[in-house]
Amino acid sequence: MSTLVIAKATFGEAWRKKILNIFLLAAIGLIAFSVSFAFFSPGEQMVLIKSMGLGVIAIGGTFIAIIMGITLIPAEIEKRTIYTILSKPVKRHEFLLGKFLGGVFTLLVNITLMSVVFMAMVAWKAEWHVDWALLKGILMIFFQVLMLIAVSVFCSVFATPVVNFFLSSAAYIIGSLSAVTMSLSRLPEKHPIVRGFWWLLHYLVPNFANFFTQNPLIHPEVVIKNELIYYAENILYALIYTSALLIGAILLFERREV
Amino acid sequence: MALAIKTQGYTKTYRLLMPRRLVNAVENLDLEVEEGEIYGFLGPNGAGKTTTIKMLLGLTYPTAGEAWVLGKPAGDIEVKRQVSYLPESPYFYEYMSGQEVIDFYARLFGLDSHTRQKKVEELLKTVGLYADRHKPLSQYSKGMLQRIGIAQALVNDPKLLFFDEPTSGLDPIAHSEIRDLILDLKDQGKTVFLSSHQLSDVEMVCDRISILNHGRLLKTGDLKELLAHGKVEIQAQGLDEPAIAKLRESASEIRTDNGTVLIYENAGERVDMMIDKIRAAKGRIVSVIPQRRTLEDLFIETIKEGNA
Amino acid sequence: MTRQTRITLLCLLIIMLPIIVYLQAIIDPQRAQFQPGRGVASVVTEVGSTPIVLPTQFIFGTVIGLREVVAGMLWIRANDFFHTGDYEPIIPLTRMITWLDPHQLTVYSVGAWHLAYNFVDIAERADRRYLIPGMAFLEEGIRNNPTFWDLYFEMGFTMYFNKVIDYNQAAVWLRKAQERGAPGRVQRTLAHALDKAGRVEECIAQWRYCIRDAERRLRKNPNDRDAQYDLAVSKRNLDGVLIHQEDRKDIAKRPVDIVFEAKFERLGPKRFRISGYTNLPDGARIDVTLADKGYKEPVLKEFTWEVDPRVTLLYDIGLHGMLVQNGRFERQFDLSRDPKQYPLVSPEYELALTFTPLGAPDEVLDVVGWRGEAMRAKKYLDTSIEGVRRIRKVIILKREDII
Repeated sequence: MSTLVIAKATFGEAWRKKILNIFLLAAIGLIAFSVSFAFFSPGEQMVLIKSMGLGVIAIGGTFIAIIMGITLIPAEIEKRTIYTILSKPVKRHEFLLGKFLGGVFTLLVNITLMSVVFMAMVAWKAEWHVDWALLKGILMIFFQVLMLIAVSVFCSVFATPVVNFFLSSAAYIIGSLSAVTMSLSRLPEKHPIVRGFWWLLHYLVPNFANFFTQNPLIHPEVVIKNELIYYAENILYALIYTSALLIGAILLFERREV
Repeated sequence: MALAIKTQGYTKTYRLLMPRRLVNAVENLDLEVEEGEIYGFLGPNGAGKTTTIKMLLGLTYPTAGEAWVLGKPAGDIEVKRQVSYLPESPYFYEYMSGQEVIDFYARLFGLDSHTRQKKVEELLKTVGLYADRHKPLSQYSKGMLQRIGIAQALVNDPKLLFFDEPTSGLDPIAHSEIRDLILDLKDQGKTVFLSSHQLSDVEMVCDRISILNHGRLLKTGDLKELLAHGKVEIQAQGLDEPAIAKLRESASEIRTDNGTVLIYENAGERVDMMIDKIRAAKGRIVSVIPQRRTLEDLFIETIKEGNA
Repeated sequence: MTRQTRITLLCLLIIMLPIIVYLQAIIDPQRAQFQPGRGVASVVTEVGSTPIVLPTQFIFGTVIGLREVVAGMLWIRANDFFHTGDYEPIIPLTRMITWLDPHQLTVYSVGAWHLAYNFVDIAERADRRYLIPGMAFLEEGIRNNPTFWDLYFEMGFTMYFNKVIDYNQAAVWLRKAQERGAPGRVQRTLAHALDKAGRVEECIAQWRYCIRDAERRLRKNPNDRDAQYDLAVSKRNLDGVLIHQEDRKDIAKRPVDIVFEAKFERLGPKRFRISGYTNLPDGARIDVTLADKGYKEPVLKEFTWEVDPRVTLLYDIGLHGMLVQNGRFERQFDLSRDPKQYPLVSPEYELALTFTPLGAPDEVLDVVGWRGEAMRAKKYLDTSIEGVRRIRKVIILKREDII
């Protein structure tokens, strides 16, 4: 199927992008470096290693998602490789989905590599006891950046890479401040229009903060109620939101001049 | 004969913001390309050639008008199985080797593994890149990339090929090879829609041509016929000045060159008339040669007329 | 794409939007569980009420989820300030750190200790006004880390045992620490608190508990040096309490008439002397408290390090009280060199001089009893605390008497 062929080619190209490789190496280096926090007690050290590791994977995933997302389609148009592809019996939505899937697979591979190093560091510090619960946090990070790359791909259909970079970054920052947008939409002393604006922002911008589930993983004594349900709801949210963004991108790309 | 391409009132208008205005990249284009012919699509830079091709391939959408490619509306997905496109200065995934990139395009047609393998090998040999098939494209020269472009354009054995400047930047030998390839394609019954600035190449291979400028079709027709409407040159010697003066009164165009008189007349009765007058004036006819226009002449003339 | 397909996709998109809103609405209330604890209200109110700007190099870290790492780095900075004696920025820093990471126990305990102990006058007397904020800070730490014994211990020992000198409350918190798996030294501290609170039977029961626990640990690991130490010390202390219990049996039947008198003398502007005499045994201590008349300790629901700059409090209590030697006690006070700590703006003050048997040395308790059971006095006998007999004289002073 054309989508998979294009996805494979996209992954092959992305995997060789120097900037992403350098960042992956830097992220892995940072995770490994986190074991040198000797100033703190062993318990506090583990907190720092987990916090640092999950944080670096999240930042790494975010960076890769944005950089990939803003260039996936515009680069093809700029370099005119899209001409030789769309002149073949490849539907536009197949092309777009293929590029998206290739980007997602690149993200998955990068996150997996960082996670393997991270889990190994944690296990080493814990005398080779693997903390499988950390995979929950990594899973949430993956779905978070899945939504983010979908945002970038959606914006790439109508915005230049530079504008898209700021759009995607802004969406990420606003979406990470869910607690703020939620609070502002509920302040009784504010004008209804102002509250309505914050309400729209809170519900329409993807809520990346939903996926910040690191705290109970870093501090296992924190008890969470209905944890599995929370994870399931968030995964569903991410999948539906991503699908909505892709549908929007397909509809816009269908009429886009290349 | 069936038509490979037909356009009616095909128009593409762009809305510019700075300053605000409408620009017609293609204006009311009526075109007919027969199957099995090599059709030259000419025009200066910015004439609208690439825009027309992109509309026919569904890469861009027309503002008005209609077009059919191999009997189906332009951009139809099934038609693309029988059509191919070699864009100007093609660009491919640099990390792929020659073999991988042809294989990639073959996969887009859903060819099975065995068929693909055979096809890739055959095409690489056809374009002379079999020995370099494992090198990444980043190490290919411009000429090699152009050959890869041709190979990807042939992967589906198309009935109609769109070639946009296929010889751009190539050395003379490569030029010749591409020309031969195009002629081979015609022999196989394929239709080639050739957009090019290389008028010498066009003159050598094309059956019919169109000339476009500022989005408007200025001239179209059989190439031989368009170039054939030239004059006849009559060379005469042994004429004295009074005789030359008398001939000057009736000749369309007359020049002298070291005692030789050169008269240019449209083919037909006037040539016979001038020959009779020269004989009557006791001159000696050295030669009578029909003059052929070059495509370059036709092109420049047409563009000038269009600008006027 | 056909028109039909386009319409279908558009309809799909329209259907997805309310689903997304619905899902978010049910996720919102659950998300708070994953936020790092109380004391870290919404970002808006916290930023609004805490006028602190995070250094720019740390802000990025908090936004992208590296809260604990940023908190750790800030703690290293705070540590530097401790070592250089630059105490001013420490409280805002500890507040920032616990805002970022409410699970840093050390920061809570050090921050609380710093508030309660380190704001001192020229005579190294701690500013009592900061005790309540210190305890509020610790309470916040306990709310955010309810399963750890450490901060309960800090509240019981550092605050109530050593600062408030309320052994009953100390025992409450130490017991909570013990219930959360605190080690032997905490168990022994609980026993001492019960001893000083005059709850002898409970004290004996606690020492026996310490012994049993140490023996249990030694059975598990005979080379456990902590358990060996705990066992030896607990046995010795239990013996001591049993001996004292025997000695002080029926002490109420051996009453002692306590003579006590004290006076206030102004020596100059904001300088005064308190002196007096008593027949309490040498080694007894007389607590001195000077406070605005009618002063009531504030109750802090949320931590703040703001204190009322108009309040004057002076507490020389417990081991800082005036020592009785040869029947006399005396001390001079100079508040003139610390106007910030002692603003002295209130028109009237309550100066209380108190002897309490709770926490007194054994040689004193051998005379008066654990809870003052043997004490009698014609003047100043105070029985306002149930089960405890104290000697207490209160002098009301006007501002002019001190200024």
